[in-house]
Amino acid sequence: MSKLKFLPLFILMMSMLSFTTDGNRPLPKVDVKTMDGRVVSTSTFENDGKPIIISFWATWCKPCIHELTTIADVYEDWQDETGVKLIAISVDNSRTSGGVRPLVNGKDWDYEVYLDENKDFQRAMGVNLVPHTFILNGKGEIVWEHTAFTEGSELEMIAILRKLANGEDVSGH
Amino acid sequence: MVKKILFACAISFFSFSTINAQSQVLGGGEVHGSFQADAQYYKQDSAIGANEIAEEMAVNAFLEMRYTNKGFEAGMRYELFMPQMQGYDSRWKGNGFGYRYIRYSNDRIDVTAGNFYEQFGSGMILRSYQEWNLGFDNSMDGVRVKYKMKALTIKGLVAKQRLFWDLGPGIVRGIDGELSVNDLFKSFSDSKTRLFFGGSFVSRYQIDQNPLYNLPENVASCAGRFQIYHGGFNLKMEMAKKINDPNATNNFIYKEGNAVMAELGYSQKGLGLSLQLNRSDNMDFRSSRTATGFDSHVGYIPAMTRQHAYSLAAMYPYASQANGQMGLQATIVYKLKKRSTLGGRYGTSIDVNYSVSNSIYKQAINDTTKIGQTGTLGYSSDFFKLGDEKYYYDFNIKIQRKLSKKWNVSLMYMNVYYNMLINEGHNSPDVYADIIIGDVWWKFKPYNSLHFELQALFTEQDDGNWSSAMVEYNRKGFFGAVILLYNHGNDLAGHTVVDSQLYPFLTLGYTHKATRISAGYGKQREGIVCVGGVCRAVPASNGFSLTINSSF
Repeated sequence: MSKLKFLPLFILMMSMLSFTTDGNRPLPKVDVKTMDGRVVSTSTFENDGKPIIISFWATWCKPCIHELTTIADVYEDWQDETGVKLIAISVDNSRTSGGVRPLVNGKDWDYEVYLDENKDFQRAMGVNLVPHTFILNGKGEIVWEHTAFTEGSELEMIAILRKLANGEDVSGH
Repeated sequence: MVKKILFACAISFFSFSTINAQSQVLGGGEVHGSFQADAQYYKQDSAIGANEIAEEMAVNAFLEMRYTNKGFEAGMRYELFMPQMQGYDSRWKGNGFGYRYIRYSNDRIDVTAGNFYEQFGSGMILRSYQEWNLGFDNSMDGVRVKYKMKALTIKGLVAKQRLFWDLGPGIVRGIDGELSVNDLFKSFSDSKTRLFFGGSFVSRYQIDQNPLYNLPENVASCAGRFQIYHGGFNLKMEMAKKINDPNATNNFIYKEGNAVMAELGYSQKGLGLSLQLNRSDNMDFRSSRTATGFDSHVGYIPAMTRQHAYSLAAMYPYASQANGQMGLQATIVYKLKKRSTLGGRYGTSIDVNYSVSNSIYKQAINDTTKIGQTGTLGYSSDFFKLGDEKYYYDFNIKIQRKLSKKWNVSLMYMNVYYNMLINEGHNSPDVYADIIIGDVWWKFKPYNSLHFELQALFTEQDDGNWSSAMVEYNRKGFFGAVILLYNHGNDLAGHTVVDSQLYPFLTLGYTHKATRISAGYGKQREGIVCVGGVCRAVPASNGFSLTINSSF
């Protein structure tokens, strides 16, 4: 019987689907930590009206490292062209989070990196698998997301960033 | 029962009929969530431990949804195991809402009622978390309050813990505070040095009905921590203590527990160094004193070893021993500069890692009591003295280099020692293994790439040598891969004879935005599989499998 207890709430939530705003979705407000221990709310993520990439990754996730390394090679060009900023959210738990700082600096990644040790931000963003990447427009709204990384995924990202930089519509992607 | 269903229907009808009215109030709210379903059709194959099941097909699935509106949030997750896939605890079998909560938060206060996940400090005395693909969930079910001030954050909670479809018997109460010293004093706020202090207290209550022993019903534990950051340096330390807590994992001894974790790091552009130390003594902390295995953990003492993503490198992983281990881990990551003789055009990344774990030193408390004897203080232990049994070590080095716009190569070597009795609980010869891995990406056209991966594991123990080859093709969102994993078997004297065995596996899939569908056919060993652009823990299987994954 206990399984039925939450049915009304569930149906209520389903019904709410019908009137969620049609526009782009804002970023949920969750606390994450910087690599030097400060607690920062995701509501403070901003990039002067330019687009932002948010990439969920972990030190043990090969495709994630592949993605961030691939982008690192072209990051300067992307920044010059579109003003984009990449925010990398590590979902490493306390077992492996000690490896985040050495890896980020050791690989010479020029990203803004945060720790999400107990996956609070990951859950709030509905991320199941890493890597999972979001693109935010200049207003901080999520306009695109993608799970998994394979060679060439970065080409789709830059195409979207270019459109955002030119003020074009990206809903077709 | 009928009444309850009617009640449920009435409420849901009510909720539908009031949508229009509510949309005024709730307008602007958001619903998001995620979904995953794994289905596996089994072919009988006792040789790899994937047995036929009566249902022939097993399905694990969940749908999680979250409604947020300004400070209000509500969420729930429906879970289904019909039946649970092989390799998952049989107590998962069933279906229902395993997770639901309501929450209110603003800049100061954050209140959650229902299920939640929480971690105090590094989690040594309290961590609740979920790993769906590993079949792990020890979520709290209760109330949590967080209060945030400029420099200080305080969290308090009281809850029971989820144990499959029930709640565990113990009540968990906890409070945690973290202070940012830089935010406390104005003169310190722009300092290059950042300093944090934290402390937590957790207590578990469980009734004592033991006829033989007088067991503590309230078990208290506390932890203190600090972190200092200055320029490229960082130092982190946490110490925890627990009062006597006789339980099934420590053979019901009355010794107190303690644990320490420390981390020292230095990094600058192109170089990262870290050294971690840990010691834990009788520190297995659960909300039920009879719980064993993965049940009802309150505290989390991590294995301080690297978590590998190649299947053969991950074949012998260390199992953390909260009741006694002492170890260290050192990591160096270095990037050879771009356009240098050694670094090549795009630079070369080198990653060296070493970890080791030992037993702690134990001494009998007197001449008549054996070490670890039930109902006694168990043993005494000199904090700085190492035990004489090695549990695990892992040395690994990885080199990654982008050769050109089209070619990318990674090479890895690993040497591992694995204590069988400690890590798997049975008395077989300990494993010494060498592993070599080559990983090549060839991007022959934009959006088109081939990925080759060769792995070999050499050992004279356990199942003997292994080798594996993989070819993966990616084109935009599509991927296809063939994995051939081969166990060469072991017929050396002194070992159980293991026959050679081939595990062929074919997988195809498609990813579009945040949705991923993949199908597989063949034999698969349990472990980690990184294919089609994601890494996942998978159970052993033989047959046809289908996975759907989506976020919205």
